[in-house]
Amino acid sequence: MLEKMIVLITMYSLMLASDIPRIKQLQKREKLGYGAVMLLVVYFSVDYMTRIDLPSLHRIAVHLLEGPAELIVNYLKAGIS
Amino acid sequence: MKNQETITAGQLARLFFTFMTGSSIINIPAPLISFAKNDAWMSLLVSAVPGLLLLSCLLYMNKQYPGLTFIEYSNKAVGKWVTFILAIPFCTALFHMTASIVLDVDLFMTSSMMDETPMYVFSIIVMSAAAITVRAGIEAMARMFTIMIVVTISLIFVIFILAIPDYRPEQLLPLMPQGIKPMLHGAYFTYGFPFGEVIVFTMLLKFVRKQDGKVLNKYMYTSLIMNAVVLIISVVCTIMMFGPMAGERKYSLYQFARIIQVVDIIERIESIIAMALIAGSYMKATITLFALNLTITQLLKLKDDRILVLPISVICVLLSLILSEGMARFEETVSSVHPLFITVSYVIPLLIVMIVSMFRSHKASGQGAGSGSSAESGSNAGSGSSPGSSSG
Amino acid sequence: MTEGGNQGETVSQGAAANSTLKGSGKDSGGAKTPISKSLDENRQLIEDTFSGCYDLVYLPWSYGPKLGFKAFSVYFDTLVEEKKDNYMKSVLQDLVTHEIGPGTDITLAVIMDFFEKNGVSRQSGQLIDDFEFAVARMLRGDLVVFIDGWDKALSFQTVMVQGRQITEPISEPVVLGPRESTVENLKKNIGLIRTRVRSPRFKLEAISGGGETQTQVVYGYIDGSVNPETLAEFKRRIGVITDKEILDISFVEELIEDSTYSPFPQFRYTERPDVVAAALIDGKIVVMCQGTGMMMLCPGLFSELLQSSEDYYQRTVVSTLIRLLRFIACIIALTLPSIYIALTTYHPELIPSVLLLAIVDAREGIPFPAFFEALIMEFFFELLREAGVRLPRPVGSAVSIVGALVIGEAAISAGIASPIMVVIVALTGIASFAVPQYNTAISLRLLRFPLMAVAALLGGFGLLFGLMLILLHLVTLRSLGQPYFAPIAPIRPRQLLDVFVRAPLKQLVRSPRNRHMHMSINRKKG
Repeated sequence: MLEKMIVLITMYSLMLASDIPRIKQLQKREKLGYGAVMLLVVYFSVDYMTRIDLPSLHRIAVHLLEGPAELIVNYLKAGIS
Repeated sequence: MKNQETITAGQLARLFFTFMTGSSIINIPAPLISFAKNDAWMSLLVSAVPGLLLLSCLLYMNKQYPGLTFIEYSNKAVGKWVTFILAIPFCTALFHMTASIVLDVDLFMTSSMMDETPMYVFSIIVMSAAAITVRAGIEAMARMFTIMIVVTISLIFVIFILAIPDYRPEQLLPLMPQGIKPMLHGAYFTYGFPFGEVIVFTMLLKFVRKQDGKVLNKYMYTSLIMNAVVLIISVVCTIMMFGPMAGERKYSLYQFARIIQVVDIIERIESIIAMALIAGSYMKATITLFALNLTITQLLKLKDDRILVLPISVICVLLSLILSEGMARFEETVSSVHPLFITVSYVIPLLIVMIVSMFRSHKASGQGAGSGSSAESGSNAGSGSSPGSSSG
Repeated sequence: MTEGGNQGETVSQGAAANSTLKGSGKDSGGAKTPISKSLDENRQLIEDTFSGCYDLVYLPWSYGPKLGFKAFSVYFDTLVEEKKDNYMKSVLQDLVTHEIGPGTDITLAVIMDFFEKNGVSRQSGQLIDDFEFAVARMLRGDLVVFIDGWDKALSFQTVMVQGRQITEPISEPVVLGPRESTVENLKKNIGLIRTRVRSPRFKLEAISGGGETQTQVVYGYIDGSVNPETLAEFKRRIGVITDKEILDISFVEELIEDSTYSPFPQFRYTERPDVVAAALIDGKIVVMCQGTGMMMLCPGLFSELLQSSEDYYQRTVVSTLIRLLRFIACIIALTLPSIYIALTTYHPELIPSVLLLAIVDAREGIPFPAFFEALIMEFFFELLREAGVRLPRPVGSAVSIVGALVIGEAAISAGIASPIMVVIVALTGIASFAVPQYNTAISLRLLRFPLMAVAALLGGFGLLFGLMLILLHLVTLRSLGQPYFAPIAPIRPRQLLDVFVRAPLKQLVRSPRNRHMHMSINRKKG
């Protein structure tokens, strides 16, 4: 847990250190955009830290597609004697 | 700013080759051979066809809307909101791709060479390097990668040549002992990776400078064919070396390099190959990150196109680490789901936009298509994985 | 010739006169002080401006019938080497003998007339209108004559201070090829180049630095070879120096370079006129500075790192092989210690087993890990090198021998370093000296320390990424707007003929002349 915290803090500080000077000069729209992406960052940080498998888009996609995928693969594998 | 940078068609074609071949060379042979056994090379041939088709779609759209990226011309063709919806799977796939490339590097390093180092070290380093490179711009990327890919591919071919004494060509036969299905299975897999990923380049075609427009198509097709050739050679050599058992061990090229022994001095050179492969993965990750950054920047209609690079990179690092914790399940599903996944995320949006714009250019009206085409997904996946009539 | 009254527009107070006398008379934006017709006023002005300068010499003269007219000359005793002629006398003599005929009275009007109509005189003088210009001339080493009643002055060029003789180049010696090198005197240097480039298209333009030094900086190029955008960019940047103190050409380099923080130099230095001539034909701009023997070539590209002028004076095959050797030396200088560290610490399987045994054997008993051992030895080497630079020549070679023996041998016996390490450090040092350009060799040496650190942390992986970062930097660096890593990246195949190999002159001579055409066509390429 502590290790993960340190990793996260390192990444955050690197990221912010190089971005903050630039952000100050930006207009509202860019700041909003940055904030939106930052939300995602926080979301995934939480996921990483706490090991909860929070739903992420690709998991949803995988979940949805698993069915057809299995069908196809099994069909293809079925030919092996 | 990125939007003013231009590169030549040749450079873009080389970037394309790098992207397609970079991490494929190490990752493809083993799983492919485990699916298709001796016929792996035929799978590649077969799945190159949809690859070429997709590439021609790309280039067609590029001609229709020169100088625009996928998001930009999609906005024009189907409007802002549909683009946004289509972009959701598109971005998801891009994120997933980048994260899995990084994850791949992590796994490789921790399983073979530096197993006591925790994974996030590699993730962070690779993504930092990718982020810095993306920020440097596509011109810098084109220049650097040209050099690096030449070195990498040369090293790999040297390996193949050095192994010639150990080849057993008879292992290539018999052809299709178990019928066509294993080969199709392999083709399904390689359609997902790498040939389907061609579509990522919809975001990058706009950077080619105007006077190269005519030769662009030629160069891109050449790159794709070269990529297929390189992969086929790689797979063939692997089969010749290890036989159908090659599929059992991951990272076959690495194993390759371990065995080679020349004149008592050059032995166990797998570390060099490892470096070459990490470089290849880094290059692919950089290109993907670039495309991802551009996509999100254009979706949000921001003016500064470099500001989002770092947060996106952090997300990719986190994703790779999260994915690594659900490892076992991940590996199982990914090879079967992946082709479908990218069909939905890459191919379908492109097809939708393309069909709509074709209608538009014929008629004056036409907002059609839209969401009604989810029914196409089944048939598209079907047709993507079994164009088998040509190879029978 | 009209006399007018004794209009004193001159400022009579010394302090104010000092403050208006700024910069050279050519482009002072402020008010120019006209020369007064009154001799005493002029003298007063000069004395005020140069108060405290003991080496200024005034020589008052009288001339004319009954020696009734007055004049004086001023010059710096320290700048004028010998003053064989009395300029005033020769002026008057010329007037008398050549122009007017004997028996005519020499008056001010006659003199004025003579000079304002540019009469021929043995010592041709130049008319000066304002005070600032006169001061500038005096500071350049000219002798200036003021005549009572005339609002102009005359300046004569005199012999300048002797400088260093033209000798062999110190920093770029060659076995074959010319052995002239440039000196500190700007005119001599320009002369050396003009004798080699005999074309009216070789243009030279001058610009002066500012402040107290007023150094003259001259840049030259061949019109038709140089890339017009590069030239325009250069001109745009060089304007910066007019209000800065320029003590040496490297000041100019720092002011106009693209990236101050890059470890790689973006311009090339040379003290050989033949190198300059070749570079000019290639379309480069040469910058010279009064008081500096080195000349600067812009833009400087990375591929020139591997080039020495001697390459062109030797046979094709020989030069090609030597260039490849240098390329390898370059790589060794940069990466050898890091490779050693990475291999011994992380990838021992890559080392052939026999060698591996030797290394392990040698490293037994060394208390430090490979990284520290390497660091210490490299540090010693740098120390030695730096110390050797400052020592006077007789002692210098003794120090290097002592240093090598003592530190090498003693370190080994004391168990601080292994013999392998000493070999590696020595190889690295020698390799870095094989690089022809001094300033690039330094940057390579500098960069190997971070590479060593990264290799120690993460082995081959770290080394890979370290090298990639350096590559990235090189690829984005620009020199005067031209991509630094051309022709390797962006690829320009025609010019690659001159980078790793040295193609025969038949093929080379054709392309340099067209190089600017290539460059402007390919300018947007990559």
